[in-house]
Amino acid sequence: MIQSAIDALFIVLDPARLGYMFLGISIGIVVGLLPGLSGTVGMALLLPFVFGLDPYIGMALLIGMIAVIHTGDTFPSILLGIPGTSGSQATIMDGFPLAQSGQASRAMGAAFFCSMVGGVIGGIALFLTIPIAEPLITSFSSPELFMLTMLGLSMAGMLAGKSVFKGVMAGLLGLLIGAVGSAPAVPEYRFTFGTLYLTQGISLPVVAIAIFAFPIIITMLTDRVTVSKTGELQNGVLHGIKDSIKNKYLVIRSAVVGVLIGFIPGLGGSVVDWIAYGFGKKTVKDNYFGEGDIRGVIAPESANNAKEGGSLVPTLLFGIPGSGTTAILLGGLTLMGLQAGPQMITTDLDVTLSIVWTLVLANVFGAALCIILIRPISKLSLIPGEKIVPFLLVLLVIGAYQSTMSWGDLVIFVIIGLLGYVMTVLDWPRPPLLIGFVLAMSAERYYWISIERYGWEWISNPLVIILAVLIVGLLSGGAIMKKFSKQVETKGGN
Amino acid sequence: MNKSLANIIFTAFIFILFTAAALESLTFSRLAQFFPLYISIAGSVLSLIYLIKIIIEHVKQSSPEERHEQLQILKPLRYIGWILGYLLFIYVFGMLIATAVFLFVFLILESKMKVLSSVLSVAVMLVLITYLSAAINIAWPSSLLGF
Repeated sequence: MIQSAIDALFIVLDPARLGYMFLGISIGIVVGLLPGLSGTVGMALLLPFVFGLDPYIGMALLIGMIAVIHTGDTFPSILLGIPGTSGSQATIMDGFPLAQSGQASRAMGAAFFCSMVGGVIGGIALFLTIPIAEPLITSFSSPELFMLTMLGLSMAGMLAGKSVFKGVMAGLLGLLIGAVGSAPAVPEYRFTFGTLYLTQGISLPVVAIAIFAFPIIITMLTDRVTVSKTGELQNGVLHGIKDSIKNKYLVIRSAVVGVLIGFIPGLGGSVVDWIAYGFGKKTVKDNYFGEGDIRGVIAPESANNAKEGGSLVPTLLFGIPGSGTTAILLGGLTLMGLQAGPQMITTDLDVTLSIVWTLVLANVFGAALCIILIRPISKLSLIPGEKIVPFLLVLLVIGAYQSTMSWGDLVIFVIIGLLGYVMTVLDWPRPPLLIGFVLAMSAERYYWISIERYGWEWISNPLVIILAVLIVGLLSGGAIMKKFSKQVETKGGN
Repeated sequence: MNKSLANIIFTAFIFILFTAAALESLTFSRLAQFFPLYISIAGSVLSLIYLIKIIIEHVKQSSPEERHEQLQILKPLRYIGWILGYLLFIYVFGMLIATAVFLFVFLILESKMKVLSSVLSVAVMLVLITYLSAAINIAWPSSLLGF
């Protein structure tokens, strides 16, 4: 295996293949930078070009692009408070407040460094799990997947902020919006009001852009401010990298969470950053997550790149795509004459190992490129709101329209955007709504399958019990720790 | 508008939304209704409890600052109007014309930019979106006039 890995490294380092990898990296960063465009768009764009290509070259192009999308998407999340893709939603929580205090460079330095480390850990995880992947993946059936969606939903409660009532209601509203469209259990449409557009459900990029971008656009115009409220841009890339090194265990923990979530097909990568953020919030002492804590950037950014390595395991080895992006990747494999499945670790092992190396190298090069771009792109945060917003609006409209290429996307953009604006003004937390929306379909589908297939017996599955304990622990842990720290404070630390 | 009052109105809207969704869910078949029905009932009950709580708090508010914390209405509405106007323009005239007109007028009237700077900024943006559309196959919203 080690010898094969070394051979694969030499294959990847071939100048022509490196060139294609850099092309993939460049496209991945641009796709990540533009709000509304996802990995699926990038893959759809590259797919026609891989037909008949040498598999090593084709995979260098595709994996190079996939690897860095969650690196490039950090720019809009931190600088504008708008998620570049659905994988960088949680980065906004602390990244944007840091940019508002003039520390955009520091936040991005930390984010890109953690993306790189997370991506490398994802690549290593892909390498290490090749021999043991099968039992790991098959141990997750619908009851365990349902409990994982519950774990994701419990993050909504953690992100509720000052008012638990508002947070839970926002989460329920997200679940309700996610129920629009076809029911998973029966061929029936819900809440479509006779419109064709709603039969497909509401698309995630539109909701993510609208709920975060619309309020920021209006606020920047009404308050006539720049993103950086201090009006200055501090040098802080190295500071951010030092922050990440100082919080190395958080980086590793979050990356492992990312890999594990990535392994599980069907859960959806859109929630991985929230889960890592929630874990970070619960496990980091003396944190002020949500108010510009650099650790609130480190946790999700370490996880979202690491997830890609994990998600390639079921895709390559079992032909089970966990997302739209990996589904198109499967098509790409076919176009290059490869077949996803166990042969990827037997006859096509060298291709699989070249994918591991491409993933690792693309993360390193992509992060380096983004770090170089920090200084010029950060200047965006100094442009007055009334000058940057009209241009931003044009890009957001184009981005929102790409979801289903229907006018319905733009109508939903305005409706959800107005809802987001009112929530912002009235201090209702928006992240729980998005988490609820992301997990609505999975929660309903896995709950229904579990009940239909196992009755109520599934509740006694060992993995289900472990996950339930974990959820209860996470939800109650904060309260217990708060009570404990209050007691220590009262006793003067004795 | 008073922020506390606005919160009451918004919560009432959320309550009505959940209640209407619960009633609508009852018209679905058994397997399609369980999820939205449970969600809506939970949301309805919670929003009702919260609504009663904030109404009581609003009545009891003793601090005049709290009672009179005002929200901006007209300014946000003006900018929401700009966004809706832009979308309406796209719907009628198409992406390129609407973007050119919207950007130019906005930059002159709201951003107070000079005419030359505005024209140059609009031109750069149009080139950029045209290039993006051609290079990475990005679709533009369709329009009545077909541009």
